[in-house]
Amino acid sequence: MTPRPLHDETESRKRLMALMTRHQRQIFAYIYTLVPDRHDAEDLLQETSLVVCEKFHEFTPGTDFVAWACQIAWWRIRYSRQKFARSKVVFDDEVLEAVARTAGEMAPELDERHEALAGCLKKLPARDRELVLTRYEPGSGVAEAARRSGRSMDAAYKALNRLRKLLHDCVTNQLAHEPPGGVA
Amino acid sequence: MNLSDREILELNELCGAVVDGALTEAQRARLAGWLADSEEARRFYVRALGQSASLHTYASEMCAEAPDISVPPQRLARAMRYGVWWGTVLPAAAALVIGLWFSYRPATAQAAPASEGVARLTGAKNSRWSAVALQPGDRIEKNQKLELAAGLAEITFDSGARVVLEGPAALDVNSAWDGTLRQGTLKASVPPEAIGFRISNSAVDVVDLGTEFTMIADGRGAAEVLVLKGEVEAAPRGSDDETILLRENEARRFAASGVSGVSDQEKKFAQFTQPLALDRFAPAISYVHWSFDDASGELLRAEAGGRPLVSSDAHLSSSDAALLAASHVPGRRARALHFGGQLFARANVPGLSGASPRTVAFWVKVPEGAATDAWMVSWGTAMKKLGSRPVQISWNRRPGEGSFGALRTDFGGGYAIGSHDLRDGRWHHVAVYFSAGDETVPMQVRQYVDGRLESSTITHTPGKSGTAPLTGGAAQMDVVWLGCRLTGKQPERFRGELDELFIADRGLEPNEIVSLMNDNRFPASAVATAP
Repeated sequence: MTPRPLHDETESRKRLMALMTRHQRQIFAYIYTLVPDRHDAEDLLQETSLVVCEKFHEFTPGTDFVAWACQIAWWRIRYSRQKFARSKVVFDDEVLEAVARTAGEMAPELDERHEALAGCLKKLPARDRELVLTRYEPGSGVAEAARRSGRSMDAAYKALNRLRKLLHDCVTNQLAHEPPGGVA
Repeated sequence: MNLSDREILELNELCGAVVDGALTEAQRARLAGWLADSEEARRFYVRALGQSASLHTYASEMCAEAPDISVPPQRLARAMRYGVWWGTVLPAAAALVIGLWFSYRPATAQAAPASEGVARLTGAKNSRWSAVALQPGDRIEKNQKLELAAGLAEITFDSGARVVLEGPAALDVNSAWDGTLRQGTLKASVPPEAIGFRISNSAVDVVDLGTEFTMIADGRGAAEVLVLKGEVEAAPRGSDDETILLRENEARRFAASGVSGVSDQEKKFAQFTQPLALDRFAPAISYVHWSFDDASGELLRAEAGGRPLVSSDAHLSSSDAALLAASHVPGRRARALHFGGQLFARANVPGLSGASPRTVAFWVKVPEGAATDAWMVSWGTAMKKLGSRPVQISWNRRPGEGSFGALRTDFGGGYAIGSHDLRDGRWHHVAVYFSAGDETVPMQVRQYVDGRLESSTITHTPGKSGTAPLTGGAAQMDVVWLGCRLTGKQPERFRGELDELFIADRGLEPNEIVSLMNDNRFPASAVATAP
């Protein structure tokens, strides 16, 4: 096999970097739907990124990069099943495969929903927005959100569920009223 | 099968329990059954979990933004562990440097917050101070407590928010985005770039949504809020009342007993809508400006105060006709300078390498997903404090140190990094204030993107010697370099476009930066001369 010219290697690396930079969040969202623990999902994303780097020469330019990378992520998740076996959230293989299939099909929709979510977050009253963002801050959680908002744990769980549903509906509503291809 | 409203609510609760790690065995079995049998349930689940993934992203981004600098250090440390990795190291994985990220952690230290200037006294009228007396133009540090005994004092926060205190009044300046009115009256004016600015006291938190409002704190735990223009969000503290959206000409009184109307409301509105006559402090600005409107050739003309400044004309690095032709392109205003990773330019700017504070402002367009060639504007220094190393403005290529693609300013011994990725193929207005300080005044870097303060926190890298300058010594003194890196073993350039570069001889006020962004000139009050 003839070694590829250095120029091609550089171009390839640039292409890879651009693709990963643009799509890493979508790949993370896919992983998170299957392994809903932030730290585990981050670890898996890192592992996935390494495999993507190694196998990038197999990727066909012009095809769906996210779908290709999610396929790699899916195999990493399956490979790491043992790691998550002790987790409270363990669906059997059949359920996991069904969810993975649906998540793969919905990747473009999740991307649109991500963009719309920013607008919906802004519409929340400041106190509610603070509760939600505190819950999801790095290193934080429901207990921290409850403490900082002066709520009991039970009240914080309820408030978060209410707000997540509110945001879900807001995003759905916003996308339903947006012209095709429109920008929020 | 269509899910009923009740089923959707139950599914939402189950998804919440999954995300929060609170799922019981019975709930797990119920959810698993649903996900196995119902496509609609699976779609809801994927949307709900995807939304939580997005919320992790947004919350991490918020952690990196300036308004949140009030979070305790331990939370900031956690944000660095998770949030920065989240948004920034991931691209590094694609760049095949994951191994480096884990093995290379430079010794870093955040600049001491106590010495961080976050506002300035920009106006006064018959002011008398109870404790430390301030003079117009004085910097105000983070967490500084101001006590105005009488008169008026205008404080301009680095975020762009302006507050006029009416004595007697006591205000704690918490950050560039946040103040606490302990007692007295203030009037806040918040431009769009400072939306999110917050004034609080023991009765209420007011988050400004781009407006003017007045707060009167009685010092006994109650406060009145009157909205003069626009709208604010007012969240009562210490009661169960919901956040209130107050619009123009609306007012409320907040106290431990609850929220009520404001007595003499009309009279107070009439009083606070009167313009205030202040003596404002407007120091002169000396500057050089390159419009890059030159249609061709290697010469880029400079001007100051509307007059040509031939001694500071910039020169492109090549006389190759094809390269030169490609470097003059339509820009943000008229024409711009295009850098394709080969050309760079340089211009003489007397005094640039000295210790005086500088503001460098320009428009920049970086190609979407750019991976290399990040170096926009640089200049050499002769300061011992900086190890005689240059100051360099780029977009961040080191994900382990901050948001990938965000505005970055490097100097000898540290760096500052913003939060938003510039690599989107759009024009952004950038302004960087740099002051090396002296024995009494600490080093300061403030970075503004599109008029909004992005970062004012410096990360020091003690003991990190770095690499030798590429081009040495005197050649770099009092010279501004465009589109090239001055350090490192390999020459690196810039890919993208620059337009309307200004170098001013002092820190610009937020309104002056916005004036440059909107009107391409300084406010009329500024004196425009060559440095």
